[in-house]
Amino acid sequence: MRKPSATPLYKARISTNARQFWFTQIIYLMAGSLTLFAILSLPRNGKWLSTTIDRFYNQRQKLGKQTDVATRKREGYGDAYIYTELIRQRCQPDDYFLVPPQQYLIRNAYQQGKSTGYAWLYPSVLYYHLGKAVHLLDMTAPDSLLQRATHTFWVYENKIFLLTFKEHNRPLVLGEFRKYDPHFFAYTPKQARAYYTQSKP
Amino acid sequence: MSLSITLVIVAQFLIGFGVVTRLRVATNGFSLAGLSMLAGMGVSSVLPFIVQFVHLPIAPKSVFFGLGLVALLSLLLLRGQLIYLREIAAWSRLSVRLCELPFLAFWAYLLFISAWKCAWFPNQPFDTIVGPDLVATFAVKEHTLVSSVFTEHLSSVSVFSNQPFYAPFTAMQQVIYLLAAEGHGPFAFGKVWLTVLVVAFGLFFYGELRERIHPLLAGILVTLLACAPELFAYTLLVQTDWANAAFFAAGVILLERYLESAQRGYLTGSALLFAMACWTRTETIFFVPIGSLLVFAKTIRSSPATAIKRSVGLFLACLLPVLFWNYSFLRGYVPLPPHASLGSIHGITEGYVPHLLQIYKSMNAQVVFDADYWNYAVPIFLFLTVLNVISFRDKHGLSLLIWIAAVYILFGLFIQHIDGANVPYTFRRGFFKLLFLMYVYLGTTSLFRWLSTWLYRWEGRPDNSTVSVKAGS
Repeated sequence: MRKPSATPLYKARISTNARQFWFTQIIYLMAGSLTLFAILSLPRNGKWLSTTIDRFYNQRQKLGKQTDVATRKREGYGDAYIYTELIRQRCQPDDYFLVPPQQYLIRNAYQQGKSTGYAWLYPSVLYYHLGKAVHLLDMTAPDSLLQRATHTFWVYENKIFLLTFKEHNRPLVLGEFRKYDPHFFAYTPKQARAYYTQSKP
Repeated sequence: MSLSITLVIVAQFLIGFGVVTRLRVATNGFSLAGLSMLAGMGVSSVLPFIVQFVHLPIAPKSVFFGLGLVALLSLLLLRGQLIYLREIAAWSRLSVRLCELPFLAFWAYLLFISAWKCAWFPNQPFDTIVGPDLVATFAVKEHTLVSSVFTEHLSSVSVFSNQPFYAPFTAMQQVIYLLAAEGHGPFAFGKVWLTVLVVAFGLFFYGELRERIHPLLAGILVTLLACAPELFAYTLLVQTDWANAAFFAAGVILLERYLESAQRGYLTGSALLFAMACWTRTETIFFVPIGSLLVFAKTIRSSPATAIKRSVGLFLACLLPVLFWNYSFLRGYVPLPPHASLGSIHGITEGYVPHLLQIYKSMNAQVVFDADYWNYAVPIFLFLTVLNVISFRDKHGLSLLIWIAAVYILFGLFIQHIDGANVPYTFRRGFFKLLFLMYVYLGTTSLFRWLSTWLYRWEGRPDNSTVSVKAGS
């Protein structure tokens, strides 16, 4: 006896099921899209996408083609890169760089560092960028060690310069730095501003 | 992507794949893939210490050989697991439905730019460059974990905080990926591991939600989380908190499975992930007792001895990495400068309760209800939770609500008593944990189960939101 082949009824059922399946899927796709659209249209979500995320995509368009590490570091580290590169270029591994008290820079060159709070001056940040390119000293070092300092940052007319110590300027610079608390550190621009708006030392 | 980075990712995946498969804690292919990567990253972060202790240099050859060896050893755990793997990798558990595509496309849109920014820029957060990345960079430069950061730099400066002593997961991932990148190419800064971790956790989280509730609902929940700006920001900024929250939430999810099924594989998996969370941020150890108490409460009636054994075991498993890092390695193996502060506890002061209440008030005002950080994620969670409680009045997900409340309360006490812990930084980033738990909770509520059943019925399918894959014994 011949086995019954797939009957038209069976085929029709499969076809109905497939149609039903795809109908459900399409409805779901529409529901998913609409729900997503609704979530993303909520005011805060929309604003976040059109400002922050858009800005990131624009940044990628602007910077994405530049792949060399130095450019990326310059862009990412900002002030820290500028100043640590200056130290790296001008100092030798056996030189001693005296980290000025942060209060001194905030007090005398606030405008220049107000957006970062001079966080790039934090000793570990300098070590992160410079490593053993130079010896780091801070104002808590013993006097004998301070006398070895070869370079520091000095403010002149509200601008920061890399200063090379000479016999004649050393007492003046150290005397000025000693007016400030060497243990103070403002980790954020807000803390730096709070210090700046206080009365002068 | 460079060959060495690809090999590292594959090795980390295989390390986790063996462990996760052996424990049988994944419920579908998505959660298996995500959890394998997460666990593999966690386990592999121990490897640089082993290399250090056997007096080999922290260099590509030694570390990659170690990774390969551990991956091979881990594959031995796959013996006899083929049926289980076939079951959870079945097409019905893996196939993506059309309704998920818009959500997947949106997440890909966010992930793409997150991955680009993460890889293109060097590490910028202050905490990272004076902490984990400082430790990692010099470990790679000087081929030792006991680098000049610990031996020379910290002892020569007067101002430094505790970031170099942060729990080591982040630093070790940086070490592994910096070695793989070799200082050049698109991934020169070693940060790509963060993107891998975010994708891995995302897969696991979505896979777990999708297993419990309808994919359409799971997609909505994940999208609400994805639109939390602060949570997104830390997918591209290397810090300890995103990884900590991912391990912690994954641990809670597995513990929840254990409380539902009493299968020991889930408890072991959860202990592993909690231990990794403590390996990422030390203070997590204060939150682990919540899990121990839940395990104890679950088991005490059937077997008091087992209840004590398992709850204490969970806590001890998490204490191990904390003790190793803070006491064996930092105070024993590494010479610390005498003025190093690894965090200290202060006692009860005058006006204890008003001060504590003030902390909770600040936590709410500055973090929980600050919509700039989370957009709609918190209000929607609160609304749906209240709706669920009013409508269903049952205990589904109660243990998760206990987690959320207890972690929140402990954070307040933590800020009150630990030097350096604060609301704007510690709690803001610690809130990631709570945010994940809130959405895990929503996925277990009767409200979402009811909605899922309704959707499955409408499409004429049986409700497949229950877990049928058996966990390890």
